[in-house]
Amino acid sequence: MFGGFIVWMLGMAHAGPFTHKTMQGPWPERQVQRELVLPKGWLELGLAVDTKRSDQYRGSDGVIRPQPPGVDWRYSRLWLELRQGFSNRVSLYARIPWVMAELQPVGGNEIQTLAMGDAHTGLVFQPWETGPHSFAFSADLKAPSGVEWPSAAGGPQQTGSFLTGTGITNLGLFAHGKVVAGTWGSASLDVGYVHKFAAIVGYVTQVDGFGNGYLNPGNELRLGGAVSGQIGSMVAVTTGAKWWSQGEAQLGISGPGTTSLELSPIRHTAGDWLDGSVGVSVEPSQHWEFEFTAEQQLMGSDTRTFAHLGLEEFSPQPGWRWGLRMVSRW
Amino acid sequence: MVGAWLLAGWMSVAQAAGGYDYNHPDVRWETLETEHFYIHWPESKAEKSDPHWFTTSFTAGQLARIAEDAYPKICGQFNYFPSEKVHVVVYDQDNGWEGNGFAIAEYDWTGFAARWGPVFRQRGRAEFLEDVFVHEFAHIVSLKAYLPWSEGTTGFQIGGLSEDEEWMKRWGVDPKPPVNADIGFDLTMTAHAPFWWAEGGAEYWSEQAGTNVWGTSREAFLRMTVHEDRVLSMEEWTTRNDKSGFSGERGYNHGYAFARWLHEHTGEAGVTKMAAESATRWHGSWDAVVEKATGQSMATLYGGWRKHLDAHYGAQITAIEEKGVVAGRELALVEPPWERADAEWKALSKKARDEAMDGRSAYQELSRYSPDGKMVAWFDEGLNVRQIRPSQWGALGGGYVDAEDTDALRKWEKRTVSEGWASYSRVAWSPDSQQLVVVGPEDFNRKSGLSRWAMDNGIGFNADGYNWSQLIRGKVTQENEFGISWEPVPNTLRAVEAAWSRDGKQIAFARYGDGTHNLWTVDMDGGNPKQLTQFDDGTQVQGISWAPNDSGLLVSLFHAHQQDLWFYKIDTGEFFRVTDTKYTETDPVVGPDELVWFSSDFDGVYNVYTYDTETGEVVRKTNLIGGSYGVDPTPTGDLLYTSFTGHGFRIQAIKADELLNEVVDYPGVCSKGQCENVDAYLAKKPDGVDAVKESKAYSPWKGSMPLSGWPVLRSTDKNVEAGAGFYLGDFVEKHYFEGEFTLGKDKLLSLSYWNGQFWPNLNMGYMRYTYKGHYGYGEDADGLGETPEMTVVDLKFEQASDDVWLYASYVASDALWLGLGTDASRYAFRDTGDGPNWVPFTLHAGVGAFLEWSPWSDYSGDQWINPRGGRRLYMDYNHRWTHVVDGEIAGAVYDDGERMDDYGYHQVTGSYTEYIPLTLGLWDHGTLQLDFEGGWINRNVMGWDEFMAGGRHPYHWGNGTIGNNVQFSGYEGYSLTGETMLMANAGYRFPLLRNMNWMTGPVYTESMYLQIFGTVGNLWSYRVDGDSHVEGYSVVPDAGSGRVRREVPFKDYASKNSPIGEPNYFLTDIGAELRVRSFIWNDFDWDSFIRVAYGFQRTAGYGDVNADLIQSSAARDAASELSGEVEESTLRVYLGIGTGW
Repeated sequence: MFGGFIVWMLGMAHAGPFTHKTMQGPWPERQVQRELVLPKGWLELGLAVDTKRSDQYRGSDGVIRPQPPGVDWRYSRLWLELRQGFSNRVSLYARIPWVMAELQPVGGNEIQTLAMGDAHTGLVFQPWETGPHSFAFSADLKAPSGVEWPSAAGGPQQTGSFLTGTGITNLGLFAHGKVVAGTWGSASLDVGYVHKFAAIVGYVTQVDGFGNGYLNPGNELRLGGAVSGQIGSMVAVTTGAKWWSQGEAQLGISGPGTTSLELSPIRHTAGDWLDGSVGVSVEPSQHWEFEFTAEQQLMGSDTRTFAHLGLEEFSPQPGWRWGLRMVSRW
Repeated sequence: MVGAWLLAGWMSVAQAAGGYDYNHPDVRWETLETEHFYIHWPESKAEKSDPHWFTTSFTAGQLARIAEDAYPKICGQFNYFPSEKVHVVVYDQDNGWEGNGFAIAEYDWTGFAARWGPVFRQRGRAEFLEDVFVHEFAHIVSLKAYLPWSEGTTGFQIGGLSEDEEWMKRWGVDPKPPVNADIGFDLTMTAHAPFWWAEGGAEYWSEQAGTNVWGTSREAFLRMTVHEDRVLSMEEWTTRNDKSGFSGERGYNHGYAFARWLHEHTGEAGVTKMAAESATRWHGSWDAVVEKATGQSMATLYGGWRKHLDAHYGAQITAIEEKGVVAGRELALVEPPWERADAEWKALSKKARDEAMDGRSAYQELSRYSPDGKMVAWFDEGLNVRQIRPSQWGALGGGYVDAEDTDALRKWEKRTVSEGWASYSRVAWSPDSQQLVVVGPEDFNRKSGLSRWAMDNGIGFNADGYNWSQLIRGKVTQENEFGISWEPVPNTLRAVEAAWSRDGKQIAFARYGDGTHNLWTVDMDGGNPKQLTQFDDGTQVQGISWAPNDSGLLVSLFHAHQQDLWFYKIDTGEFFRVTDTKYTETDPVVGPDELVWFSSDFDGVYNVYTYDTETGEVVRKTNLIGGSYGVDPTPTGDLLYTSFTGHGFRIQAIKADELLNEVVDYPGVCSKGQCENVDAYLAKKPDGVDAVKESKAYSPWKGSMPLSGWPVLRSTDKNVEAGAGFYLGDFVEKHYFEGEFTLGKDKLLSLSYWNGQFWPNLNMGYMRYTYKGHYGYGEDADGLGETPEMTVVDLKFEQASDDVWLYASYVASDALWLGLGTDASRYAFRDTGDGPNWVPFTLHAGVGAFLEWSPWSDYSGDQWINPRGGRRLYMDYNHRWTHVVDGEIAGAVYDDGERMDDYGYHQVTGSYTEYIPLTLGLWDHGTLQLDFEGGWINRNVMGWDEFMAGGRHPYHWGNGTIGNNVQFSGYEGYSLTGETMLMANAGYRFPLLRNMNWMTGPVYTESMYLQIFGTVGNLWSYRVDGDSHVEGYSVVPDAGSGRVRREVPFKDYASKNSPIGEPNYFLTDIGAELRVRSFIWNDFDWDSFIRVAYGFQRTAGYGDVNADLIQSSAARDAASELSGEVEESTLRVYLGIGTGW
């Protein structure tokens, strides 16, 4: 079936609705020469999968510890990605995930959830058309489109399914820079801040009551960098790292009267994480790109608080994440 | 309700295929591919003997040649050579496109009429294919070259709506007195260019390509515009959509003139340079583009151009005046005050004078006096035939009627027949003046008063999709009062103009086919049709007149790029050339004096001439400042003609003794031996491609438009959603696919497909909408409603609806639309404890039919800000089923005392709106609008299935709502429910400011109207009567001593919306609305409003009645499960910026 999809996509790239148009910006032949925005008029449709397997966790001191024997956490995502070169300076994008969360607990049956996750939409704005180096700002809106409903109220013992979304809207603002070294290499740096808007969420419930409560997750600071090398005109290799720091989360419920709301901090929800990654991009033609990535959590903080809900955004479990991405563009 | 919503949403975008309201599945589409173009052209599948058989193969072949010729010439100007092929679609299946084309650059699409239209009147020559095609292709290239954004997304939309601020009470905000505000905005951000640049530029670039010319008509048009001080201002010429009368053409004309002047003034193609400058980045103002491209500000350039116009045309007018102007006065019963030009007229503002001169139509033209001189026919808002002798017109020495003398005007009205269906084409009188022939529609029936009314109001059923033109014969009747009885002349389909033979036995007419005219004759009863000529080369015949002895026909023939006078001899079938000039001779007619009268631009102005066939002498009869066509010499020797003026085409009249009699040395008079070989000339055929041989069957896939989208960012219900709409269709519009997705707290996916391959339009689609909401549940310890001791518990939930639909619709006439279809929906919920699983709640399905009758168009009255002079009727019937499937509530709900699980019901709704022009006092252009809305469901149904009413903000429904949208806006949206609905609304709307022409940044504001309104009515439901008890959370009647009964409108109060002790037998509200009609980025509608409404009654209901997001746990009373909350009488304010109203 997947092969059939590829054949269909190949057909699309050359037929009526997807014909190349004169207004489209020039497509840099080599990956390292690409700017931070997609050239004007190009449309990219991507399909990506990534999967992480973990049998470890981090305690309050951030040290990795093994899960009890037999525990196996797998967190996989299928991303539908859309990116468009809106103009010479602006690209728009949408990334919609479907999440498969699976846990093999000690002794019990596997718990599995498949559902849509929290989708990202945003834009990248490159103020100057300087070339070959580029600098851009971006805004990323993460919508609470995933499942935020636990199958039961209570703690980890009641877990019957996992959440695929936080129920929280995130707005991230980033700055990106990229320097290009001839036709053989490039380096990039990203820095940003993610604000998470407090909201009533389905997985915070009253103790001894039937109502839901508020969650105010900690905001994030992010920093990332990558270096890429071009091998021939088709292949590029990238290695990079990203660090982020997450603030402390708070929760609470409405109280007496119509306007009261008191939030209390949640212990061990603040922390710093560092991931390292390597990737290979293969581009047989300007219309197709395949990308393989491997990512490992190098440093982290307590990953237990939201683990039983499967919320990787708040409690990312340690382990390798493997990814494959296929892009068709015209 | 869901079904009705889907239907309404679907109806708003319904469309048909192939450029018409009808799909014409009996037409085959072919594609002619050239190096840079695809030309899609239609041909009838019927036998050639079928009266509706047609082809456009000649037109397609011509376009192939013209298009490839134009490609390097247009692209070279911009140094922009599209690699993508441009799709050219030829339209000719029915009337409606003649003389028109369009271009959508980002779709690589231009649509084009095969039938040449009357554009030459304004533009100067009949070279339609080349002029207009190259114009449209210039649009394609210029609007690609200028675009700073991707052609796939030429814009995006940002909008938001904040409703029911009462939720702010949750945060301690509690305004006194209570005000309910719904505030929305909708902003389209798009690439843009002003009207003058887009259209004037296309005229200029097509001239630079060697096709278009700045001819005599354009010169006359601008000369008269300058003469009457009607040149569009710098603000006015940016926007096309509000232009009426001649102002629309002025945008083309001025832009073209400005481009030519700029070229001459600066020595370079300034308007062309603007495209490249615009493409560098998005500009908020086109003036900035102009300044970058030319180095001069727009104001400076415009000022320079205006000075040039004054000097150039001032000199022309002076030269004409020095020779002595010989011109007529306007044909009118009441003396035009601008001709009287007295102090009262001069005291009026310019705006008032312009509006008075513009009148109701820019097109008063093509008069024809009857041979006996007792009647005249002319066109002005349709055909008019009046019993009046030439000498009775004020313009010809008779008296004018006093404007206040209503008796006299009424007498003239009784001596006038007016018909709106007639095409603007010179009428032909029978020699006895008792009959006349005009061009009318194929679907014609005026045999009885009822059939007349039905035809005039669009009540009919066009079953084959064809409503071609044909000749209609009228007989003058004098039984009680002056009248004309009409009947079609058989065998005259696609007739465009006619002439009646002197012996009264035959009618000669020009018949259209594939971009070409041919001469035919037919007996007056339609018998014995004969084709006289066999042109197949784009020849156009215009102005037909019989020779005095019926030996032949005098015509103006456009052939091989030249328009001259010709004589066709009937018995031999030979053409004899009368003139051979580079000038254009139009509208020839053999006058009562047996001279040939015609109009010609021989001296640079279209003046009236006579030609003596015996002597070859040509005499000039007028010396006009503007120009003339439609020459009509009367039996009394006077002259009527259609004149170019600055305020429209106007019929003017000159007395016989005031006519000029200047013999001129007219070149190219054939009787003087000045003409070339006739046969060789007539044998000339334009080069073209053999479309029949070179074409292939049309493929919707190869004929697909480029995929395009429109990003959306909007905020509703305290949430941000981002997404896009996307569109994909084919150029012949057989298939069209549209989708939208938005992602946020709420998610929307909508997919809709239209099919135009069959007689009805088919639409099917799927929509999924998920909504995450939360509400506060007020635990009220003392049971007294919202008192301070309340504890609020927040509950969050997610709701999903899945809808599918399939509808078929058919446009039965211009005003009548019918359809039927089916739809189904599923609702489900989930919340804490459900995990990812949805809990199904209800299933719904329905089959239904609708009818809309709307003899009102967007362009009647003052367009959509103030529709007037029409009506709209909408009715639909549905049979629907509801099945409650929620296992958590045992598959049933209680509503109005009744348990419901699985039921069917009938639902009928109807609405009627009348737009009555009513001028009260100072408020000219006022409209009294009456709306009646009713609905009936035949049984008690659950709340979701009941009718709902209450104020709503238009952001939910988008721009373009034609109704006043104010019914019960004094009440909370969706707060009134019931199985019976009766509402009546009256509103009076009048302008505060019109023709404002205010330019504020990118916003051009055209007019501002105030509307006051009030509604009376109610929604009634079912209630529990007698003894009752509680089952679960619901109150149900006791067996034997209680019952559930239907409420009787007005006799019963509506128990559901009545607070305790306040029975609402009917509800009333009043309000006022200020509407502002604007355009943003030149031509995008951007209408705004503020509406204030007040509902006089307090209301009750289910759930969160006061919309503060807290549902009280207290019930209204022991006899119902209604909420204890009450919505107070509240001032409701609706504000929409750019949302429409």
